[in-house]
Amino acid sequence: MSLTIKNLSFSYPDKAVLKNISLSNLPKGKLTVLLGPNAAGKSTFFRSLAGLVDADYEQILINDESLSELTAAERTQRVCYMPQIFSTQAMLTVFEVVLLAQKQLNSWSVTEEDVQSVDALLKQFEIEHLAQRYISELSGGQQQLVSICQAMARSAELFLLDEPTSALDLRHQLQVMQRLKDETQQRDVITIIALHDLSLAARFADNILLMKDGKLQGHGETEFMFSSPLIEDIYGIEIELFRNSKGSLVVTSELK
Amino acid sequence: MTTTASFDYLKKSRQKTGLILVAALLLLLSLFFDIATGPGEFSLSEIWQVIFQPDALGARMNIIIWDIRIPTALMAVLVGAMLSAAGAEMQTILNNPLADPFTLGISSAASFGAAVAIVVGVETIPIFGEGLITVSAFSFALATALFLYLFTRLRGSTSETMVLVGIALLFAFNALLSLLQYTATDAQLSQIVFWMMGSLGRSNWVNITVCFAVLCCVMPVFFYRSWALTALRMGDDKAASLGINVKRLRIEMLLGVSLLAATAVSFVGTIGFIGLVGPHIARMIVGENQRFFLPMSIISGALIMSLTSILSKSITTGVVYPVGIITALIGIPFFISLILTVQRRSWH
Repeated sequence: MSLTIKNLSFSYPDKAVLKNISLSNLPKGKLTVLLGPNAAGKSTFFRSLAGLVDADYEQILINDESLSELTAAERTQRVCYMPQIFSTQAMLTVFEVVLLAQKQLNSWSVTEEDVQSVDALLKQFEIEHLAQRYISELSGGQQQLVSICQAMARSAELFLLDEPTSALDLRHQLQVMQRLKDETQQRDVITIIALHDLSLAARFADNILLMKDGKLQGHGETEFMFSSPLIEDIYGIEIELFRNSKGSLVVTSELK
Repeated sequence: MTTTASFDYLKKSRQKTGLILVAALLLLLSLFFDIATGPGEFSLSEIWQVIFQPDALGARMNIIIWDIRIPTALMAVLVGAMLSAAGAEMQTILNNPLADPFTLGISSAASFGAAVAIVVGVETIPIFGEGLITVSAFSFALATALFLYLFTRLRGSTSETMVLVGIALLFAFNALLSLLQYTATDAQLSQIVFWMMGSLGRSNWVNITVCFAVLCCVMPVFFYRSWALTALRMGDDKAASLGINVKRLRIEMLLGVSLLAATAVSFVGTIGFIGLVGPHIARMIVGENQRFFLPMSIISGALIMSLTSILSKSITTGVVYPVGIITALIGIPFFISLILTVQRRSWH
C-alpha cells in the first residue's frame, strides 16, 4: 500500500516542467518531504497528481488503485492538495471554510456531526477562538493554519501540502509539522510536504524526495539523504548534519 | 454536548436566517406601499380591500390596482431580484467586486438591440410593435452572452479573460449605439434615450410571467451550486482541489447570469447599480456563504428596487420619474456612505 508513479511528465507549450518522474512504493504512514530549489517543479508535481493540470503518465497507483481508472470525483476523494497561496479576500468565516472543505460539496445540508468535527479540528490546531472571524481579517500565519485545518478536514489517502509552514512562527512550525506527522501515522495515509526549510525537513521527515529542473534527482530515508552530497549539489550550498541534545536531527547550511 | 465554536456557528447561522426573514418582511411591506403609492389618493384600507376582493370598490379602482399598480410593483421586485442575483454571481465568478450583470456588455447589447428595432421602425407594426423592441433587445443581449460563452470555451474561462472580452464588447456596442443615435431622426432619438433610462412603465402581466419563469428556471441552479460557488471564493486552485470543475461552473453561471440580465434589461431598459449594490449590502450583512448570501442578495436587490419605485412616484405628484435615474442619483450617495460607515473591508 503506497504511492507509485511511472513516467509522469508535464509541459507548457514552450517549456517542459516535469520530466519523466518515476517513483516506486512511497510508503504510507510515513511523512515524506519534497525538497528542491525554486522553480524545480514541486507545485506542478502536486498539481498534476491532484489533477489540476493535465499531465502525461504511464501509471500512477495510489494504494493499488490506478489513478487513470478513477473518475474526477473519486480522484478528489483520494487526493487532497493544499495550494501554497490562499485567497484572502472572501468574507467567509474560519468555521465556514473548514466546514466547506470537510463537506466536500457532498450535500447541501449541514448536520450536527459535521459541525462537531469542524469544532474538534479547530481545537486541535488551537484556532477555535478565530472560528467566527472572516478569513480576510486574519494574519498570514493564521490563514495558513486555517488552510491546514481545511486539508486535515478531508479524508483523503494522499495528502499533498505545498509549503504549509511558510508563514508560521517557529513554535507553530514545530507544532504543525508534529501534528502532520502524527496524523499521517494515525490515519495511515501518504503525506508529501513541499518545504524550503531544511531543518524542518531533517527533523520531521521519514523520507526525502529531491527535485530539480523538473526531474526527481533522488529519494531515500532522511538521514541517508542528508548524508549524501546530493542536497549540497542541488542547492549549491554546504550543509552540516548533527543531532542536538534532544536527539533531533539538525541541519545548518552555508553558502559555498 | 455542544462546544463553543460549533455553538457560535449554529447561533450565527440562525441569526443570519433571521435577518433574511426580516428583510423578506420589509420587502412585503415595501411591495404593499408601492402598490398604495401613486396619483389618485386611495386609503391603505381601500387598497387592501381591492387586493383581496377585486370587485369590491368598482371597475375603475380594480383596473388601476390590478392592471397598473400591482404589475408595476411586482415588476420592480422581480427585476430587482433578477439583477441582484445576477450581480452576486457575476461578482463571484469574476472574483471582482466591481462586476455587475452589465460588466460583460450585456446591457449595452440590449440597448443596441432596442435602438436597432426603434430605428428600423418596428413600432409601426400593429399589435407586436412594442413587443418587438423587447424581443430585439433580448436577442442581442443573449447573442452577446452566447458569444462570450463560445469565446471562453475556446480561450479559457479565467476571470481576467472574461472581464477583458466583456469590456471590449461594452465599448463596441456603445460605439454602435452612438452611430445609430447619430443617424436616427429626432423622434427615434428621444425614444431610444427614453428606453435607455430604464422604466417600469411598460409592466404588464405577460412581462411579469416571463420574468417569474426565468427566475424560477435559473434560481434552482444557483442554489444547487451554492457550495461550489462559496468554495470558488477561496481561489480557483482550492476550489478545484475540492473537486469542483471550475471552468464548467463559470460557464454555467455565465449563462444563468446572462439570461437573468437579458430578460430584465429587455423589459425595463438599463437599470444599473442594483446588480452592484444589492450583493454588496448582502455581503455586509451575512457574509459570503452563498447559502445566506444568495437569498439576501435577491431580497436586498428587490427591496432597493421596490423602494426606488415608491420614490420615483413620490417626488412630484403625478410624475413618475424613470427608475434608472433614481437608482443612480439617490443610490450612489447612499452606497458610498454605506461603504464609509462599514469599517470591514472585504476586498483589498
